[in-house]
Amino acid sequence: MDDAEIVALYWQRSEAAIAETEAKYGAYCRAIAWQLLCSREDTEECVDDAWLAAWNAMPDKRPAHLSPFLGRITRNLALNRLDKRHSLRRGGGVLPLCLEELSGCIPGGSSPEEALEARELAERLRRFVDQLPKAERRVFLGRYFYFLSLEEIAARLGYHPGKVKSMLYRSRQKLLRCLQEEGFV
Amino acid sequence: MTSLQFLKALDADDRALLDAARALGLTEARPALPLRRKKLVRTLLIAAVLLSLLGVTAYAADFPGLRALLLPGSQGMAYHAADLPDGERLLTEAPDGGMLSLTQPMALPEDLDPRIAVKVENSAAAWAEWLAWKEAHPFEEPEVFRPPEGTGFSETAENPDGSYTVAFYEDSRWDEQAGRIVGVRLIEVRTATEEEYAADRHYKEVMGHLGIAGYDHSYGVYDEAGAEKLEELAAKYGLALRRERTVLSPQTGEPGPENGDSLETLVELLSEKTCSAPLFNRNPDRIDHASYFQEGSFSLSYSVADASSGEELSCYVCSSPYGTLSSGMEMLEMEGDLTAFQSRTHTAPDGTELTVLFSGETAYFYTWLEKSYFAGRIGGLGRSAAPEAAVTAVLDAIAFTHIGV
Repeated sequence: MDDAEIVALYWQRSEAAIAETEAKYGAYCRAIAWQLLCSREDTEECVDDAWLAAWNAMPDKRPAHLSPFLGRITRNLALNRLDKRHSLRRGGGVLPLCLEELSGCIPGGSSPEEALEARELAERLRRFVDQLPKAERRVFLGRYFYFLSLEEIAARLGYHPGKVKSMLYRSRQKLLRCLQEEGFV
Repeated sequence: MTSLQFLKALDADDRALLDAARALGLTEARPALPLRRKKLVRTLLIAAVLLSLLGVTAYAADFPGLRALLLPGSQGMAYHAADLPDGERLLTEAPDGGMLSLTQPMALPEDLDPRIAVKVENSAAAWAEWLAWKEAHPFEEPEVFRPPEGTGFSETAENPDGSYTVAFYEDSRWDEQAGRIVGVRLIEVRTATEEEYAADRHYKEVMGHLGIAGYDHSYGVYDEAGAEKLEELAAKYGLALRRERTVLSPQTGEPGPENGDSLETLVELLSEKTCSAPLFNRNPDRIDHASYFQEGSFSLSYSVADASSGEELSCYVCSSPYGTLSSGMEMLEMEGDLTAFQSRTHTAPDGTELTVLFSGETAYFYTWLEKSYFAGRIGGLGRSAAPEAAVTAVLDAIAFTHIGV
C-alpha cells in the first residue's frame, strides 16, 4: 500500500491504518528506536507510542511521505524516553559517542529566548544538512539522525570505517564553523 | 541549550531523510511495488494495449519459463534484499530482477487451447480499455485540497464560520514547544468550503477502502461512473468480475484454528466454494490466509514442513479462472535475480503438467488447468537438504484436477 493510501486510512479513522503502518514501517521505526533505547521492551513501547502519535496527528496532518514523518516522531519519542531516564549520556548504543562528537557544536547556557533559539537553530541545521554533498549527507544523517555505528554506516554504504570517520569529522568541522558564524556557539 | 534540544533540532528535509534511509537500507524491508503508481499504470497500459492489438505474446519454447510470469516492463525494477548480521535488511537495486505475476499469464504457449487463449486476450484487451478510461476520468480530491508542486506536508483547520483553512508546506519538523510535528516553509494557504471539505473526506474514505463496495479493490472502482464502465467492459468482452472477497482466516472470525475450528474445516470450506473436490491430497501444516471470490478466484498462503530439514516452507498459490477480468497485478512477487532460475516440467500424480522455475531459494510454478490458470510460489527452500524433493512434495500435495467449479 502506498503512503497516500495509508494516510487516507488515517483520515478515514480506519484501524487498518495502524496495521498498514506497522506492516510497512514497523521494522524501520523499530530500528530507529532500538538504536537509541537498546531495549526490546522500550523499543516496542516507543513504537506503540509512535503509532498513537501518528493516529492523533492525522487528520488534520497529511504528510506526503510517511517514512520521514514517522521517523521523526519515533526518534523524538525515543530521545524523550532517554531524557526521562537521565540516560542521554549514559545509555547504550552510539548516542553517548554522538553527543561527545557533537559537543563542540551544542550552544551553551540558557536564556529566556531559548525557544526561539531552538527554532532558529533547527532551521539553520536543516539548511546545513541540505547543503552537504549527498554522500556526506547520508553519512551525517546515518550517524546523527539514525544513530548508526561507524561500522554499520560503512557496511551499508560500502565504505571503509576510516572513510566514514573522516567524512563525519569534516562535516562536524563545517557545522561548527557554520554555527560559530551565525552566533549560535 | 540541552543536548536533547540540540539532537531534536538536528533534522533534515524529507527528501534528504528519504534518500539517506534508502541508501542506508533503513526503508521498509520489502516495498510493495518498486514503481510509483502512475508509472506502473502506464507500463501496464502499454503492455496491455500491445497484448490486445498484436495478440498475447506466444512463445514457442518455455525457456527460461519466466516469460509467462514476468510483468512486461518490470525488468530491472526490483531490489536485492540481504540480511545483515544485526538483523537489519539491506536493499540494493537489482538490474536482473523483475516483478512476477501469479494471477494472469503474461505470455501464452503456442499450443494453448485457443478457447482459453481468446479469454486471456479478452481480459488483456478489457483491462487496457479500463486503464485508458481511468486515465481519462481520474478520481481526485477537490481542487482546493490538491497539493501544489513541492508539497511535503499539509494540514487542515476548521474556522469559526464553518470554512476550512488548508495550509501546504514544503516540509515538516518536530516542534519541541508545541510537542507535535508542524509544517515548515509555507507554500500556500487556501480556504475550503464545508462542501469541499466533505467531498475531500468522501475521497479519503473511498481511497481508504480502496474503492467502492461491490468490486475487488484491484479494479480501482471509485465511483458509480467507474462501476458502470467496468460492467460495460465486462459485458463487451464476455468476462466475469471479481466482486466481494470472502476472507477465510483465523483473524476474521471465519472458520479457522483459532476459533476452535480446524485447519481441515477451512480447507473444506475453500474447496466447497472453489473446487469440485478437496483442494489438497495432503493438507498443509498451517494456513495463514485464505480468500476467494464468488466467480471462483482464490488465493491461499500456507506452510508445510520440509521432510529433510523440518524447516518451514512458505507457500502461496492463486487460482484465476479464465474469463475473469484481471490485471495480473493482484499478486506480484519481486525477484532480484531472474537469471538464477532454471526451468523444468513436473507431472503431478493426477497427470497435471506444471512448469517449475527453481533458483535454489525459491520456486515458482504454473499450469493451465481446464478452468483456471494456477500459479504459486514456494519459499524457504535454501534451508532444505533436498530442495528439489521439497518442491515435488509441495506440488504433489495439491489436487490440481479438482480446482475450478
